[in-house]
Amino acid sequence: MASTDCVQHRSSTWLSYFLLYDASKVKGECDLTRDGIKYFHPPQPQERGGSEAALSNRIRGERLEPPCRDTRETDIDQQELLCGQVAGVVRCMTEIISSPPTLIRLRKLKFAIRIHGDFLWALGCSMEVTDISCKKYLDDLIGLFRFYNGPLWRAYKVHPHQELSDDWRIYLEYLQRITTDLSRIFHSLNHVDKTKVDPLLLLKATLILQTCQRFPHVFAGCILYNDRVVSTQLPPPLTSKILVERIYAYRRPPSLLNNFSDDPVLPDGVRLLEVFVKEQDAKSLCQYPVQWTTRVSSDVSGITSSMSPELEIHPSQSVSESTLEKENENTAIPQIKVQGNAEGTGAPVTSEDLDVGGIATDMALHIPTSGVPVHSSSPVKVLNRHDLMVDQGRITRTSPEIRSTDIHEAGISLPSTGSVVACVSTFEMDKQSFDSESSTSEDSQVSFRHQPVEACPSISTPVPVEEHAKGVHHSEVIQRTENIGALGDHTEGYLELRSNNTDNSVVFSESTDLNLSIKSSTDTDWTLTLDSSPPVSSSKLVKLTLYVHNVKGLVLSLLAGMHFKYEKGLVQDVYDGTLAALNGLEVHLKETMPPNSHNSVTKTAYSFTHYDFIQNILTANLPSSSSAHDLLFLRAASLINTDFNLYPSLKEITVSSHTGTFLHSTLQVAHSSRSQHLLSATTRNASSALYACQSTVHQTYFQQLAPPNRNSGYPDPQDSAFHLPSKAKQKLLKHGFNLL
Amino acid sequence: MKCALIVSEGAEVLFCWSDDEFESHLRARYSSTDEPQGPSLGDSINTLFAPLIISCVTLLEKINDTYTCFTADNGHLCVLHMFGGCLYIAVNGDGSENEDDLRRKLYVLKRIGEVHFGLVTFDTQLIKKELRPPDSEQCKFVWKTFQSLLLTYSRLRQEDQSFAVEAVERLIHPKLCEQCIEFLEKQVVQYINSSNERGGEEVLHAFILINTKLLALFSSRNASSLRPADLLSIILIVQDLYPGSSTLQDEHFQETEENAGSEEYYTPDPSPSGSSVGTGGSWADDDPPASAFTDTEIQIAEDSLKTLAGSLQESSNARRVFLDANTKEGYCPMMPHYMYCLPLWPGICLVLLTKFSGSHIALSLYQLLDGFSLIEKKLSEGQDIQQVLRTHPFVSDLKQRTDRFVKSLGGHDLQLQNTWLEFKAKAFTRSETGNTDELIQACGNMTRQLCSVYRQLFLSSAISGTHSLTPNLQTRARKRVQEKLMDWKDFLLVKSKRNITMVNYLADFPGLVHFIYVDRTVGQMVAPSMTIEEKSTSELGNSLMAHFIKHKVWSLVGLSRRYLQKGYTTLTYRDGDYFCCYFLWFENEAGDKLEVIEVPVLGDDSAPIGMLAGDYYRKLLRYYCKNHQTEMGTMVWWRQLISKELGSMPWSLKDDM
Repeated sequence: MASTDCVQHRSSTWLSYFLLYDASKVKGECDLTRDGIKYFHPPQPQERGGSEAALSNRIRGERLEPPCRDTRETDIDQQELLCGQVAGVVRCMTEIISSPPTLIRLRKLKFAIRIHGDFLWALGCSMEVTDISCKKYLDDLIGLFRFYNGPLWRAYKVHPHQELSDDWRIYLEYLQRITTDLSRIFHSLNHVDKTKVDPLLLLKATLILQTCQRFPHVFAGCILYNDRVVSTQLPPPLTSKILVERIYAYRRPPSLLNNFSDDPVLPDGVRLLEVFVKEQDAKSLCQYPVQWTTRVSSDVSGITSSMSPELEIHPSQSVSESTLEKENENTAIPQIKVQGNAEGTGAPVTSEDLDVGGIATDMALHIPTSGVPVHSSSPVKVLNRHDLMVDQGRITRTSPEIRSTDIHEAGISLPSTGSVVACVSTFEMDKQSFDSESSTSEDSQVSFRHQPVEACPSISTPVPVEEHAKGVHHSEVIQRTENIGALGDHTEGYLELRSNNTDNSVVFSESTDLNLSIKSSTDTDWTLTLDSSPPVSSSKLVKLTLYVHNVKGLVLSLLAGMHFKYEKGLVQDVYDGTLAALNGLEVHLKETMPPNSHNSVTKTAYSFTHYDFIQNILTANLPSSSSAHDLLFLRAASLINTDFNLYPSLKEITVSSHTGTFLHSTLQVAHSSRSQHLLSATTRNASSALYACQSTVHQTYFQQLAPPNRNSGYPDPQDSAFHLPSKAKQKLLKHGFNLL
Repeated sequence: MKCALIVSEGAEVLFCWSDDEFESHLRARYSSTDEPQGPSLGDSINTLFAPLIISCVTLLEKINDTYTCFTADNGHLCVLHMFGGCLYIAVNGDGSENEDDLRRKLYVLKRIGEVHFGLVTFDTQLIKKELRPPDSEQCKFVWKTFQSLLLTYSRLRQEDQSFAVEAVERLIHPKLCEQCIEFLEKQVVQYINSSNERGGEEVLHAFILINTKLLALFSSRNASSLRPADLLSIILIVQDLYPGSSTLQDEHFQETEENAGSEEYYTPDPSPSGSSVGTGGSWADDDPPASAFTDTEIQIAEDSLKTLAGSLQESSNARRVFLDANTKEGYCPMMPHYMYCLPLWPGICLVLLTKFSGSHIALSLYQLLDGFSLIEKKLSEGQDIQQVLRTHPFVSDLKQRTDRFVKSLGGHDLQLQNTWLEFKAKAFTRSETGNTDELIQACGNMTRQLCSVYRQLFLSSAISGTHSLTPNLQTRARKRVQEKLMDWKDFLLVKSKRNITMVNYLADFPGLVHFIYVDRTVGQMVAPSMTIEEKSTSELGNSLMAHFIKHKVWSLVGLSRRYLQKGYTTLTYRDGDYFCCYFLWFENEAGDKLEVIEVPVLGDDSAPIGMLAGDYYRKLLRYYCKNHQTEMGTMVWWRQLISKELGSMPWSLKDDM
C-alpha cells in the first residue's frame, strides 16, 4: 500500500503546473492578468477552506503532501505571475528567434508551450520528464479537451466556465494517474496484459465490437477494462481519449445543442455524448464501406436524407451508395459525384450507411469456402470489400462487385482499422473463407493480433471523384500496403488524394442513381468546421456521437454518427445487443485479472522494454513500482530515447555508468520509425549497463541484472557490457522480439 | 542568425555580438520606412531583449527560478545563464548550434572576461564598467576584442580537434621537444630574467606554439604550473591575434595595429614557400623605426605595395591576462600576468608569460575576497551571526589579514579603510547590534572595495600594450628562438598538420577510423590529425569523406559529453556503419586502472563538460580522488564497422601512448 501511495505520490508530482491563458482578454494596460487565466492548475485555494488551512496552502508553488490526489494549490498572485511571465516571454522570444518557442526550460521546471491564436497552453513538468514527453503530454491534454468540448473558442462560448474547469481538472488527474514512469517515456496506451488474459476473452471483446458495427451509424469502438485497453478498433489517439470520468461526469447540455444527453430513456450505465474528432480520424472511421443492415438497402434515400452530415467529407457516401446499388453484380460503379458543398454539408449518407455493419464475424465465419462473396446481398459485398481491405491493399483484384464497391472515392481511407483488423483476425480463423488473394491477411495477422494497427491498412482508394470509371478505382485500390504502421501515413495519402478533388470542403461522391443531393441542409450546422475561427487549425473537427456503456469497470465505447442518437430505439438496440456479452466478459476479466493489476515483479535476470511504434504497444517486464535499478534503467532509457529521436541514424547504444551496484537492465524499446541513424546504444553505469537499439519500427532497451563486476571504465574486452547486444538478442527472442 | 550578449539585471547591454543575419533581422524589424535612419543596433537589441531580461529577473526574485533555455520546434533556440549579477544570453536562429554549443559559448565568453579582467568579475558594478567603459573608443575596443575572440573560438571549435574536446595537443617529436624546452630554459627564460632590461618582470612560462599545437613549454621552478585551461585560453588569444597561416584576415591586421604597444615595425620578407600562406615577408631585424610606424596609413600603404593577402607584420603583442597561480603562498585564481606574443613565422609563435612586481598583491586580495564572500555566503544561508563570526577560525585570521593589508596600503585608499572600519564596527563590536542583512551588506561593500583596489592596481591601463620588457629584449629573445628553429620551421609547420597519422595504427587495428586520447590530468590530447582542406587531400581521402567523418567525430564528442553529464562513463553506439565508443577511467601513477565511481548526474543547464568552458574535469577529479593520488584519462575511440571487432577493441593501444 505504501509503495502504491508512494508511487502515486511520486507519479503525481511530475506535473507541476498547467495553465490556459487567453491573451485576447488582456490587451490593455489596465486589464488584469487574472482575466485572461482560463484555467490554472494547481488551482486556487478554496475560500472556505478555513483560514489556517488556506494560509498553509498558500505556500507559493510548493507542494503539499498529497496522499494520493494532487491537492496542491496556488494562490491567484502566483497564478498571475506565472501566466503573465510565461505569456510575455513567449511573445518576446517569438520575436527574437522568429518562431514561437515550444519548450521553456527553467532551472527546476520545464514548460511545454502551445499557442493557438490568442490562446496559450503551458504545461509545467519537473526536470525528470524529458522534453519530448512534456510536449506530448500537453498535446494529449489539448486533444482530450478538444475531443470532449470541441474547438477552444467555441467551448468557452457555449459551456459555462466552471464546467470546463472541471473538465481540465479531470483530464489532469487522469493524466497524472495513469502515467507510470515507463509510459512517461514512451507514451503508449495501457493495455491489459495479454499474457495474463485468456485470448478467447480478447476475441470475445473483438466480436462484441464487430457486432456493434453492424448497427446503423456506428463506426467503430473500443472496450476498456479499468482504464486498460482490451480491444479497440479506434486508432490510438482516439482510444486514448476515452475517459470514463469525463463521460460520466454530470453535465447539463449546453443550450445550443439539442438536448439529447439527458434522454431519460437511456438505459442504465449508458451515456451518449457529443464528441469532436479530427477530420482525418473521422474519415478513417467512416471509411467503412460496408452496408450491412437491411435498413440501408430498403430506403437509401430516406436514410441519406436523414443522416446528418457528420463529415464534411463524405467520400464514403458513394461507397455505401454503390454498395447499396450493388444489388447486382457489375452495377455501374457508383457515379461518384463531387458534390460541391454548398451548404457545407454533404449528405453523409455513406458514412452513416457505411458504419452499418462491418463484416459480421458470423458472416465471415460463414463465408462459403469458395471465398467468393455472395453476390446477392450487400453484406457479402461488404465482405468482399473487407477481403480487399484485409488484404491491405495487396489484393488488387477481386470480384467485380468489389471493384465497384470499393469506391472510396474522394479518398476515403480504409475502414477503421478496428474493423479491418477484426476482419483479419476473423479471417485468420477461417482461412478458407479467404480469397486466395487475401494472403496478405496472414501476414498481417501477426501484427494485428494485439491491437489494431493504427493506420488503416492502406486500402484507401483515394480516387478522384471525377474518375469513376469502372475499373479505375479498383486498380487504385490501395497498393499502399506499406502504410501499415506508418503513423498517419494513410491519412496523408488520403489527404493527398483528396486534394486531387475539389476543395477541402465537403467532397463526397454519391451515386448518381440516388438523388443524394439532399444532404440535409438542415444539418448544416453540424458539419461546421468547428475550428474555423482561430485560423490555424491543424485539422477541422467533426462531431460524432459517443456511446458509452459501463459495466462495472468494463467500458464499451462506440463512435457513431450524429444520427445515432436520433434513431428511435437504436440506443436500446445496441444496449440490448451487447449487455449480455459485456456482462459475461466483465465477469471473466474480473476473474483473470485483479482490478489494479500492476505488472508483478518477476524474478528475471533482466528487464526490458520493447515499444512498437507502429502498433503503439509497449511491452516491458519492469514492475510498475520502480526500485533503484529501475530508476537507473528509466533514466538511461529516457536519455537514449531522446537521442534516438534526434539522431535517426543511430542504431544501437550501450551505456554504462559507474555506481556501486552493478545492474544490467535491458530495455527494448522500439520507437522511431524516423530514427534511422542512431540505431543502437549501450551505456554503462558501474552499476548498470544498458543496451538499446532502434529500427524503423521499434525501439528496444535491455538491461541485465547480474552480480557486480569490478570494472574500471577502461576499455576492456572482457567487459560484460560488450556482450550485452548479443545477450539482448538472445533473451528477447524468447519474448518474440527479433532484434536485427 | 546568431547573437550573444551580456546584460545586467537592469536590462543594460554590457556586451553584444551578432552576425549579419541577426542584424538585418533587427533592422527589418525595427526600422520603419518613414524613418530615414532606424534606431541603432544597440537600441534595437535593448528593445528586443528587455522584456526577456525583466521577466528573468522577476522570476528569480519571486520563485527563485529563472529561464535557462527556450527551444522552438524548428531548432531555433535561445540559451541564458546567470553569472553573478549579469545575464548571458546566446541566440541561434538558424539551427546550426544546439544547446550545448550555445551554453559553451556563454561559458567561454565568461572565461574570456575572467582572463581579461580578473577578480573584478566578482563584482557586478565593476565588471559593468570594464565591459562597457564610459569612453566610447575604449568600449569599442573592448567589444571588438571580445567579439573577435568569440568568433575565433567558434571557428576553432568547428575546425580544430583540440578545441572540440578542449585539450591541448602537443607535437610529438620527443627529441626536438626536449631540445626546445632546454633551449627555452637556458637561452630564453634565463636570459631574459637575468637581463636588466626586463623592467621588474620575471618570465614564468615560455612556450612555442605551432598553430594550435604546443611544441614545448617551459615553466620556471618557482612558478606554479600553468593550468591547462589557461594554456588553452592563451592559445585562443594567440589564434585570435595571429590566426592560422591559412586564415589570415584583414581585420586581424587592423586589430593588431590598434594595439598601440608596438614601437617596432618589422618588414617581413617574402617567405620562400610562396604558398597561400600569407607570404608575410621576412622577419628582418630592422632597427625600430620611429613611432610613425604605428600610423595606420603608412602601414596600409606598405601593405598595398606588397602583394600579400595578409601578413604578420606586428612585432609583438603584449597583453595583460589573469591566470591561475598556485604558489606556495597560496592559490590565486586570477593572478595578473603579462603575456608577450612574439610571432616567429606565420603560424609559429613564441609566448612568454611574466609576472611583475606587485602582482603578489593579487594573492592577498584574493584571499581577503574569498574570506568575505564566504562570510557573506554563510550569512545569507541563514546561519547565525555569532556562530559565523565567533566560532569560525578563518574569521579571526581574516581580520588580521585585512588589518595588515589596509595598513600596507597606507593612506592611499581611504574608501577601503572606511569600509573596513565600518565592517569591524558592525561585526566585531560588543554591542552586537548588527543584524544579518546589514552585515551581508557590509560584506558586499568590503568585497566591492577590494575589487576596486584590485582594479586600480591591475586594470588601470588598457588591455594590451602594457609591458615592461623592452622591445629590444623581446626582439633579441625572438631572434634567438628563430635561429634555433630556423631549420625546423617548415618541418614544424607540416608536422602541425600531420601530427600523428593513422597509418601507424591501421596495421594493428584494422577498421579503426579515428581516435582521440585525452589525459585530463594535464589536459593534453593525442589524436591523428584531421585537417579538412579543400585543396589538399588528407589521410581521410577527399574532402567530402573527410567532412563526413569529421562530422561523425564531432557528434561522438557531443554525445559522449551528454552522457557523461548524466553519469555515464562508457558509451558505445553504432551509427550507420560506424561503431563509436567513449571511455572514461581513472588510473594511479603506476598506471593501474582504478575502481570506478559514480559520476554525478548533472542538470541540463549545468556547466558544460570541458576545460575551457567550465572546469568539469577538475571538479570530477577532486570528487574522485579526495585523498588519492590519481590521474584521469579519457579515451574516445571510433572505428568503422567494417572490422566488426567491437569487442576486441585495441586495448593495448593505450600502452603505446
